[in-house]
Amino acid sequence: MSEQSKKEPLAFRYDSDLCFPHNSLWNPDKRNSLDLKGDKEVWKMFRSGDDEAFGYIYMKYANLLFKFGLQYIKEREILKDCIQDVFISLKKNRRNLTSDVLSIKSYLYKAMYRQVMERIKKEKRQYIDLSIVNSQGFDISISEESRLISEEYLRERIKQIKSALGKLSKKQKQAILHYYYDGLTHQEIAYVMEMKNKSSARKLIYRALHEIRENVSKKTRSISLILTILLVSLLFHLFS
Amino acid sequence: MNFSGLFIYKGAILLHGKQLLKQQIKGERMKYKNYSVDDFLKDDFFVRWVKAPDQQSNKFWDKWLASHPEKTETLLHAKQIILSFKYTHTGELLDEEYAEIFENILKDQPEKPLLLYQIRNQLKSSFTKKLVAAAALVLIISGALLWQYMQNKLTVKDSVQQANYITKTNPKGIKSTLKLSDGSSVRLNAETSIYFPEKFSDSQRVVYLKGEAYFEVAEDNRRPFTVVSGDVETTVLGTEFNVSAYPGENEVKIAVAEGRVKVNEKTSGKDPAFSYILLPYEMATLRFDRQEFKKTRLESAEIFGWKEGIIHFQKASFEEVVTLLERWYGVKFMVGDQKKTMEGKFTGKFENQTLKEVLEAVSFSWEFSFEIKNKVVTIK
Repeated sequence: MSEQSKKEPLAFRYDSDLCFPHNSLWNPDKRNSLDLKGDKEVWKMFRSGDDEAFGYIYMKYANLLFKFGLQYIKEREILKDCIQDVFISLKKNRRNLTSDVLSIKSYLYKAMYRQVMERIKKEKRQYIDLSIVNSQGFDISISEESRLISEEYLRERIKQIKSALGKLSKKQKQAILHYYYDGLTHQEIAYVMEMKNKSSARKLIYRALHEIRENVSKKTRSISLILTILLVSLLFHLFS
Repeated sequence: MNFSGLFIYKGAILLHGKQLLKQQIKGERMKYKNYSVDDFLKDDFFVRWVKAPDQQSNKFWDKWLASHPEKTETLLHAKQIILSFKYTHTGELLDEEYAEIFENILKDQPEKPLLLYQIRNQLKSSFTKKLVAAAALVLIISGALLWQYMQNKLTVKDSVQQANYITKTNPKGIKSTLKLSDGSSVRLNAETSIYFPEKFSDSQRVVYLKGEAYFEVAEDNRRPFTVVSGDVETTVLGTEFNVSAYPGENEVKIAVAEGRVKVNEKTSGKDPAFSYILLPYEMATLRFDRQEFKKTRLESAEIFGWKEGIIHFQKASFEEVVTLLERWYGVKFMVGDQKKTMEGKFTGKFENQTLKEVLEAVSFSWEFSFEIKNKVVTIK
């Protein structure tokens, strides 16, 4: 038997479910089964050395981390480096990682946050120019897809909310996005944003909502004030 | 102040919503009766349901709405507001970047950084240690050079090169192109892996394929080029052809665009069970379950279309359409009981179109509605 046939990868035989150790995105059935499993289970599999679970985590979260990182850093290449480092250290330390994660998403967000901060610090030391930093990070947009927002009332309301959103602090905006867009829980938000506990996160969001409402109602009040003035002057005009 | 205290109390109940659901169900329903849009926005149980509905919460809100139809509008407004929040600064990794980062992650060897780290620490500690480190570095470098030299010598002697193998894997939704060491180029389709040596040996060029790829092989009469896919070997000297060998599809298809291709069973020394020659615009279809071989003539170049971003459905069943779209766009389809009613075949051609555009056409002929969210397509 020649040397080469011994080296032949078993993974390329259809009858075998052996895979390359790193050929992790491969098996579609397995991926579907991972989709059905909860975070805890996938995390456990990954920690015990399952490469498909690792590939699955990358596949599911790489783009999310990119978007998350964009809130801090504008430079694409640096973000790519950061994502790479997050996953490399994840892979390297898999056996020492905590078994108790709130969720994989929040764990990775936090890891990415640390990586990004470290990177910014490094860049600061090397260059004075900080054009890579995104100072408008975590700005909120409101999607106005026609199907989503069909009614006039809602459209008007969203317009008001939109202008009110601009007045929030960066932290408030971040918490709002994590809560309503990313679907993180209060506890996960507290973890990612390095706050004391989940009630701090909850308070942050409530205060933001409160401010939005204040701003929106102030606007409505001023509109109704204008309307009243118009009406009064009209009446005055008519009867004079 | 009072106000926020009230909200915290509310939140505390709702966080245990799931466990308390049964006991609290009456109280909860009562409570939501007077909720405004803002109240809903603050309600964790509600937000959870909007963001990640499960059976339990669906049941709860269905029932609740049924008994409070007058609140439908308020609830829907709150839901729409939640769903309309999004990031202003958004972007995605390009397919190539996505694949490139993953490659780099997999390539990373844990030993290397450790060594650098150690050396750096030594350099930091003291001058004598610096000397030791320098000496070690010299040793390592000369060792590496010597090793490389020996390797080179060995490869000259031995025609079966102990090459470094490389694996390229495209997940669903990603296509890529790569160049091999002999100048051949390979266009890899989505959900495809290829395994090849960093440098080909002097006597042959062998690559292993799982999935679909289009090969443009650089001509080299001394070294035949072989694609191994499962039990099938496709051998050429220099030509263009397509191999489609997805596991689970139970068949391998080889289509030739240019030149001559030989297809045979992969054996180790024995006579192969089958061996055929294919000419341009001929396609071989090998079915493993039925041990069947078929040679067909291609009427058009549509089988090669995928590499230019063209999707071609020719009397495709619903399952075939779903399989291809999942692979092509890297999405997942959620199809309920509707599957049974999706009869008939679909024929159509799409050139570099978005998933939404394709689905609009497909849904028209099978009469379903769909929703695309977070890379999941729900068929309704």
